[in-house]
Amino acid sequence: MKKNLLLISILILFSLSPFLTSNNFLIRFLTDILIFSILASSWNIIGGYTGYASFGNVVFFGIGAYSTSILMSNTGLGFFVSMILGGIIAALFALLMGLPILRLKGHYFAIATLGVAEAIKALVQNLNITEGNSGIYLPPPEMSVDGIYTFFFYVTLIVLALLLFLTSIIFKNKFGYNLKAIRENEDSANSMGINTTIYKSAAFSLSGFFSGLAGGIYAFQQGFIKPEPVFNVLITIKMIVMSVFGGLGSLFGPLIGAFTIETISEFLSSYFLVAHTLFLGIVIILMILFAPKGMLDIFINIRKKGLSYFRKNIEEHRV
Amino acid sequence: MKKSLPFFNFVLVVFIFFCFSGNVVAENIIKLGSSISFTGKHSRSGKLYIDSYKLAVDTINSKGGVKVGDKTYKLKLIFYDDRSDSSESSKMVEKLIGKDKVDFLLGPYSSGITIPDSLIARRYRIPMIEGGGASEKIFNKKNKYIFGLLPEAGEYFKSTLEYLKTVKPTPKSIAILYADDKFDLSVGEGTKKIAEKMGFKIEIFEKYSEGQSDFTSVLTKIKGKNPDVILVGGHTEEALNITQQLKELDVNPKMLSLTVGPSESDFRKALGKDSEFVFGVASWSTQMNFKGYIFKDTAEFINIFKNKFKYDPDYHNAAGIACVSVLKYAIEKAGSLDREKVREALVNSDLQTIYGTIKFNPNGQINGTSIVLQILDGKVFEVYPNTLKKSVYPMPPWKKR
Amino acid sequence: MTLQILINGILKGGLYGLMALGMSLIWGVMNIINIAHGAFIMIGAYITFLLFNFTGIDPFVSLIFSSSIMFLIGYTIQRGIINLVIRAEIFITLILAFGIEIFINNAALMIFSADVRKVKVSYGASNFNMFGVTIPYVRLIAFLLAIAITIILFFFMTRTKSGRAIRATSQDLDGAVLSGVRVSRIYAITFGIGTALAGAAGTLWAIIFPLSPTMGGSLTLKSFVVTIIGGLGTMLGPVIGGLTLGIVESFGTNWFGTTFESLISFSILVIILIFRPKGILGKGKE
Repeated sequence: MKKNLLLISILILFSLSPFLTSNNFLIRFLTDILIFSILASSWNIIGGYTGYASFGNVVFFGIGAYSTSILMSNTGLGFFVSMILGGIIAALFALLMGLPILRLKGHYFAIATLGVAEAIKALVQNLNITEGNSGIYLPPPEMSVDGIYTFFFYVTLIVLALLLFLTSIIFKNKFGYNLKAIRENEDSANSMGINTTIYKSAAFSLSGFFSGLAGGIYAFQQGFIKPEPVFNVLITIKMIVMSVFGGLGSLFGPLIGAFTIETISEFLSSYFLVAHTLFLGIVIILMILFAPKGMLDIFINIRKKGLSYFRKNIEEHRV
Repeated sequence: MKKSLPFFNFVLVVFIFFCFSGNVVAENIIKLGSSISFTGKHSRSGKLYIDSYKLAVDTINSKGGVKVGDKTYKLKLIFYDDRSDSSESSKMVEKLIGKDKVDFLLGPYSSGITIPDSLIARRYRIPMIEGGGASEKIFNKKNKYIFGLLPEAGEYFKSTLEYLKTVKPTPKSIAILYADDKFDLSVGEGTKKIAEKMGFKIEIFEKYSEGQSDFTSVLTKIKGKNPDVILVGGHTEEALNITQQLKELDVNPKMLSLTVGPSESDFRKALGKDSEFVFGVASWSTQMNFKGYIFKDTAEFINIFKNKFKYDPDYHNAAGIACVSVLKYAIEKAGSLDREKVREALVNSDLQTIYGTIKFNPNGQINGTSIVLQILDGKVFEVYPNTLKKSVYPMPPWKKR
Repeated sequence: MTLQILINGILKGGLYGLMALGMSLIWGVMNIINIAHGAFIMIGAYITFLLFNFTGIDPFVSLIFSSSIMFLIGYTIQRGIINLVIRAEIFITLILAFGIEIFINNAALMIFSADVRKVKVSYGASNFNMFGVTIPYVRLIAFLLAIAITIILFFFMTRTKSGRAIRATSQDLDGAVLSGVRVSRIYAITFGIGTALAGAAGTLWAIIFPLSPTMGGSLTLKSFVVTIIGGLGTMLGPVIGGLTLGIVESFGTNWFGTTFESLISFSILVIILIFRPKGILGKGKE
């Protein structure tokens, strides 16, 4: 009970941060954490729960970003409508893309999703409506400077809260149970009568919808987007790393992962102007070697097994 | 939930606040922030601005600094590396404003990065003066806080086309090759319009991907059509590759001109003899001489620059100096560090510097033109409108050199 | 002109094939997708650049050095790091490979700075004309070397004891273990050969194109496409895949514009994965 109270008070404090500080850069940083939390949690639905490790999820982020940008700058639609439409377009694309691609397994699925993401990026670079590779402007938010930062923080927080709420319902329901069955053994799931195609596609679309919303928020916040930053494979990698380190298939895992990785990243940036990405690479290597089950798992087990926990992880996986 | 987790989070929260603790502001310092390309594909050109910003600030400080009313202030530069990436640059500009609390902003290199950075400047109402972005797309968004020292991208090749009308025999067909970033899109579209109006035939009008390194496909197309003139809107790295691959495929236009590259000494060094006879454009050259604002005149600037940095300055360097010069001028004219007052002073600038006369159009871009350069005997000379050295047209074919 | 476009595609395709050969080998034998493959190509390119700039060794000659050094690097990385996660789930090995790629790219960025470099050989732009087609010498030589190396690999894998041990391990792991093959050593050798091939491709690349520390990413992606087109589990796959991609890109960019190159290659990747994941020649395991 005490532990939950502590957790809840931390969450409440976090939710009130725009009012506790006037440092806009800090609020922006927290908003970035929230955006990655959305992306990681979305990935978790298809990657963690369903066991289909997609390496192309950034495509939904990019589609959401570009849809929002095109709608806002070419039609009179406001931000919220454009953002939601962006999410819907991303979800529809996930559905379409899933039809042929979800039939693939393992490595082939991973590479195919990566291929689709790169192909869509290349397409966006060549279309006129997206202004090609040169970038597209969005109308600026009509707010005070402080208001802008507070606004984006809360929009992102609400989208994340919605995503977590939906995911927790799924997790406890037949839907989640079926996804888990697909992850454990898809052939048995099929023979048990579960329509794996429908459940996989639904998970993929849900993942796409929320990633698309995150993209729309990002685009409006930036005011100007280009294809490379919003379709960058590094974003997918970060999503996956955050989910794994937070603990795959757990509800709050991706959030913890997002918070940790982004904070480490920012800390490194401040002190190592040139070398910070290098250290990030080292962090990723060390963590995947020694803690592939996530940080939560470390905390549970380190007390019981001590340092041999790390050795056991490696022994399980080596040749 | 595990006991150690909240503690872990607490430690991380401490980290965050640690990272974001700002600096104590010292008295009588004006902080100038610049997020610019130390590394990445624009680093060669980025360095030109970094060197110039530093030289300008050092020179101003050594001569007494900036007078605001009856107080004297020293200038302080704060740099971050944008790694030639626009999203990184935006983040760094926000950091300069939020964490370092800079007073004014100096621009990055390239239009593609200047655009998002200028949007942040507008949001925070901080004047940004840049000498690295020429696309009209920077200035057509009613942004009152961005001031640019490079002339309009679409007009970069205007003087080149005028020059072509003076040579014999008059060339008829032109190939325009341009990258897909905002600057080169402007160059491509603008050049096509002017060229067609002047009666040239646009044989090839091809877009290529920014940062591309293999031009075989498009150069093969050009080889097939054999136009008289090839005009390239691109940045230095692309210019190097295109020139090299033109030789590889034995394509021999009568003139090859590139928007960026030929004026930089790096370009001539990298290509060696292959850079000979290549044409370029610039808003300034070392052969000009103007009375200076923080230097005595252009000649003194070139001397000091060469001694300090050991390479010949080009128009990027001169524009960088001009950025800091016009900022000092505006602050002193406004008699205050109030950003709105300084902004208004900038709008009505009329200043003579080593770079030339600085007067801004209502949209914030400088009222200026380009001159035609050619690389001859390993050095760069203006050949039009002033003939400081006689141009060589047509370019001798590769195999006959 | 059509002939020039075709020749352009073939020459580039040979280089593509060599690039993908290393990735295909590692993937086929160890079922690991080496995301860091492009980074290894980049290292090979820089080895050539440094040797050329500091000792004047001709880049073609430096092939021997870059391949050997890369073999050692690959062997060590495999033995030291990758061996530890071989039997883990896919995304664990993929993320490890990404971590290695980030590390290598940024180490190179710190050592060499992000500036673009070029190996400036005196014969760099020399070319000759045949049937109306201009062929740059370096591209032709690079093509011939790429084919030669592929043939050498073919003989190694089919005629030598180590080569046969490698193939046995990939076809039947348990059987190989039973017949006394030391699997961890075989894996390390295989990975070493894979990175040596990447290094060789890097050398050839450096002679024709400029280098930068971040050049690897797009080359890894290209290698995927070529590997998939040609098909896994076969030695000729990458060559066929490379030539196919080279020719399709050459004609495709001529018709649609050079900015369509990536769209063409990734569309082919996705289409092949959907309709014929085995690729042209593949006898792949799914």
